[in-house]
Amino acid sequence: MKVSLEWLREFTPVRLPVAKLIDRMAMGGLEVVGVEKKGTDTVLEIEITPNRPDLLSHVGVAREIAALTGTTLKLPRPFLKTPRQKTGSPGIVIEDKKGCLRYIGRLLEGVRVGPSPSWLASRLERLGFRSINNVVDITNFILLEEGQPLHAFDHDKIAGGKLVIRTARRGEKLPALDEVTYFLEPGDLVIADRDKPVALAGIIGGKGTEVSLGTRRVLLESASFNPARVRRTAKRLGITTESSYRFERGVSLKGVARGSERAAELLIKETGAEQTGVSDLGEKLSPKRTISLSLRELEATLGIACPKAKTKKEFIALGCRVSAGTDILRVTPPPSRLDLKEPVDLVEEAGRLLGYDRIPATVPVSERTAVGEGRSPLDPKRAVETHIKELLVSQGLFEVVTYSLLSRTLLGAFGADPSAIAIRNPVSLEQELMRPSLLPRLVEVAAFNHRRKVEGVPIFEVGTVYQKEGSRYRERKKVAILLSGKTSGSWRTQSTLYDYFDLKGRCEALVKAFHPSPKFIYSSVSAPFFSGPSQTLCVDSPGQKIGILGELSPSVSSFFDVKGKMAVAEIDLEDFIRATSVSKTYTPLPKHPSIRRDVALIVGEECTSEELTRAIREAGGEWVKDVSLFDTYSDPRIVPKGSRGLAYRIEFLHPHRTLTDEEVNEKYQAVLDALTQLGAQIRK
Amino acid sequence: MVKETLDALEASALSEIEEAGSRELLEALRIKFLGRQSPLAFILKEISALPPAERPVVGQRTNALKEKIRSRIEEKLRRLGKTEGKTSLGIDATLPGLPVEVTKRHPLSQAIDDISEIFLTLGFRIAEGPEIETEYYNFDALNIPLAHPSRDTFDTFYLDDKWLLRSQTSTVQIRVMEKEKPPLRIVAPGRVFRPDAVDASHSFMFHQVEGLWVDRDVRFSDLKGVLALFARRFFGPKTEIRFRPHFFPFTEPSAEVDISCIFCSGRGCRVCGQKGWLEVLGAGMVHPNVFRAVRVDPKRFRGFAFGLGVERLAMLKYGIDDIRLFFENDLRFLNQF
Repeated sequence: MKVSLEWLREFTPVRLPVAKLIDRMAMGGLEVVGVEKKGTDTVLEIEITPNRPDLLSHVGVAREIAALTGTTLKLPRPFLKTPRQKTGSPGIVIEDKKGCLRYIGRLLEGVRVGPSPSWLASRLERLGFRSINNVVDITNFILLEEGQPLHAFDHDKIAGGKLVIRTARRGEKLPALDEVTYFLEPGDLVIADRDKPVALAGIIGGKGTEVSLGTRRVLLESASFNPARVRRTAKRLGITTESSYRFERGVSLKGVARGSERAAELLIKETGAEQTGVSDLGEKLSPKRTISLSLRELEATLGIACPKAKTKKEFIALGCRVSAGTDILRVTPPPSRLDLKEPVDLVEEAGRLLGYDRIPATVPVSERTAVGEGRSPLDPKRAVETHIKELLVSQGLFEVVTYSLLSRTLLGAFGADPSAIAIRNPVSLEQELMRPSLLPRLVEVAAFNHRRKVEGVPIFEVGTVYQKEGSRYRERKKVAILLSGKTSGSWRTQSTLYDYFDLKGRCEALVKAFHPSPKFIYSSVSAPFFSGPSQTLCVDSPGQKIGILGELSPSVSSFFDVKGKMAVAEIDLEDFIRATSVSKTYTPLPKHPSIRRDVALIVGEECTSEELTRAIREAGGEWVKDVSLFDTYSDPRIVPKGSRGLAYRIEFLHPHRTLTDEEVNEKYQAVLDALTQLGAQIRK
Repeated sequence: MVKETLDALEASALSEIEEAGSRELLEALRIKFLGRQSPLAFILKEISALPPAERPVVGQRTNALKEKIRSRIEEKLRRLGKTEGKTSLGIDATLPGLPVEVTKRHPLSQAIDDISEIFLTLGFRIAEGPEIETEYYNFDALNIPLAHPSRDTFDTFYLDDKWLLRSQTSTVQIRVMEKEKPPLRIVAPGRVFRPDAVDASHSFMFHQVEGLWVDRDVRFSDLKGVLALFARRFFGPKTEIRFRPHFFPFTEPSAEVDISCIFCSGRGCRVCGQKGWLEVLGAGMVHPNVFRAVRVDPKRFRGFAFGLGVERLAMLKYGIDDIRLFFENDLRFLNQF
């Protein structure tokens, strides 16, 4: 809302310098977002919150400034009155009483339409309005002065000479003043003549009844329309006008009369017109609202003493009528203050006028919600989440945060996912879908970094994914890891390329950080975006699946223009927590030394490490404490084509005594036999 | 016999070292007295030829002498001022240490933890709520009626006629109060969504932390106290706060909260638009209609609520001028926090 300082000064003597005034207004809740010097005048642009339609006028702003700065307020008093009876001229019928609460029509004859006098035109233009002609300009002038939207019809163009306020009929349309033809629906409130709509109530007038140079008789409309109805129609048609903006927020029934009277006065003065009839339909006044405010309640809410006399004065400055009891103020707000409905509304007004900066900053004394009520201050799930983040950072991974929404194209690189949830009203392509997986955005981050010449991208994200399950929407938290590019080498060790096993080690380490002795079980995974090594990770039992890991297929990498491998994992946070929440109990440390034996094997390529490990454990018996792979080799001088070499270390331990070499040798031989059975060749 | 030899060796070694005037000479002396061909090495090699009783004495003496010569050479090298990190053993100590990758938590995630931590110490507890919400939780229960323009300030992504993406974390107030009776104190960090085109200061997704304190005797002045404390802990002990009246449908009285500009200490600069203040969050006393929606009697309980934008706070704290940097995740950016 733009206001002219010169105009405001007609109502209240603003004495503060502009900078001080702006500051005072800001501290009173009126934020000035723009200041423009226009000749001798200064135009302020004020941000008006939706609860204060009364401030969409110079009168309203002047009242507010007077209250905030302690100046007097003098408002124009219209001499013209609105008679309380319906005269029958002009003829008006309110058919839709829920849509139109009050309607005043004034008939003015002998109007001389012409250009506006310069004071009027310049004032409007200063505030961003185009001057059209004296009649239209006067309606806009009063809109800006009083906040009451008005409309002037050329009475001679109204078919049948009478107006009906009704809901639109199916198939009706209105060619409007903005040169657009609007197609109407039942429920849209219209002003109609005998044949057709001539205005969209509270939104815009029709072209057919426009006031033009030849107009002699003007029907001046001032009304109050149902805010929700105006809003619905304006939204559907996608238009906002000065008028609809105010009606959506609400105008007072009293203001309807005031606006009508002020405009008629000006029309008579400036266009030589004569008023020949007035009709006033609907309700005349809103029921009086008197709100009882307990001073004790006021003080207890704000946390500061509010003396009765001072508080009373503040409400009076806002235009309220106030009577005081012992602990109570009975406040009747002015009709324009539609937002003042219950005591808490007055608490805010009192605090605002007192000045929020006068309210002390206190430390709450209440201790009823202190720890000790059996509520954990930290959600355990969140604690695990934080712990996971810290672990992954300590593993040399950067935490990233990516958008929850993504484009169809981006997700499509991973294969179509019918469970992805679509956004109905995206404003850009990258807001089309909600992510059903963290991976696409993670790969995008890797590609972005590689493009910027970051060679190694070890990253992870902990975040929510969203999926449609039947008719329901589900949110799940996931942890995703991506490794791409080079590891950081040093002058002693060369950097290598991240691969599947770097990833697998990190996933296992993550589980081990929570679970004292996990058993990892891998099964094959079916995901279209993997090729090369990929597995499903289960902990302790094959049914306890927590996530998937693998190397992305070249089709994904090439979509993102990334050369080289990208290893990714996605783990479900809740499944992870379930799989790793095992109670930790102490096992006594071994008192006896363990005995190690190494075995080097050459096996066919179809033989997996998992099979070999299992065979070693089974043949080695209960004393096998650990089996670990410590070397692989593929030197063609030793390993024939189609085979590979693996070396394992086996650790034997008896819980209660020291094992003898003979005992261990016997078991070791059994291991060698079992491995030979599997087709392995033992290297001596 | 051996003892005399050792004494003589010590005397000549120490004096020669003292006289040596260059690195090269010292290196030659090192080889002469400590090398594999040196008399000391010979003595140690042949020690078994000595009577058993003498062996430990000679062994200790020899080793002690080796150590003494070594340290004298080093000391001399140091005095020559030409060592520059090279030890007598030829190791360049100025080589960089073997790198240990240092990686970081995302600045937003750090900020959320920092913010939450401050409130946790004040007895708040962390709550969470869903991001996919209904109109009821996002609007109606928060006193934002359908037909009211106050809804216009909350542009919202819709999934269908019933479900939407929450446009503010205030939804968690309702979720928590439906389940738990006051008194209560919560903070709720989370993602929120608004259909916006992305530029340096706008994002269609960002993070908020919502706070709520409900009890019988909570005052507006307490809200000021708690937020002043928060501002000082988050931005530094000199930070001042200022409340300006504002409108939010779910609180009354409502305020926009400014902090004294951390870049110019309130004198006025480009960042604060010469105002000396930076707007950082919105807050107020819980509106009675919100209490009514969750069946809490507004005559018995009062509360305050606040909502702060994590990106905004992090941008101010770290001097970041483009919100998109958070979501691009350039590792060189992430490494700075």
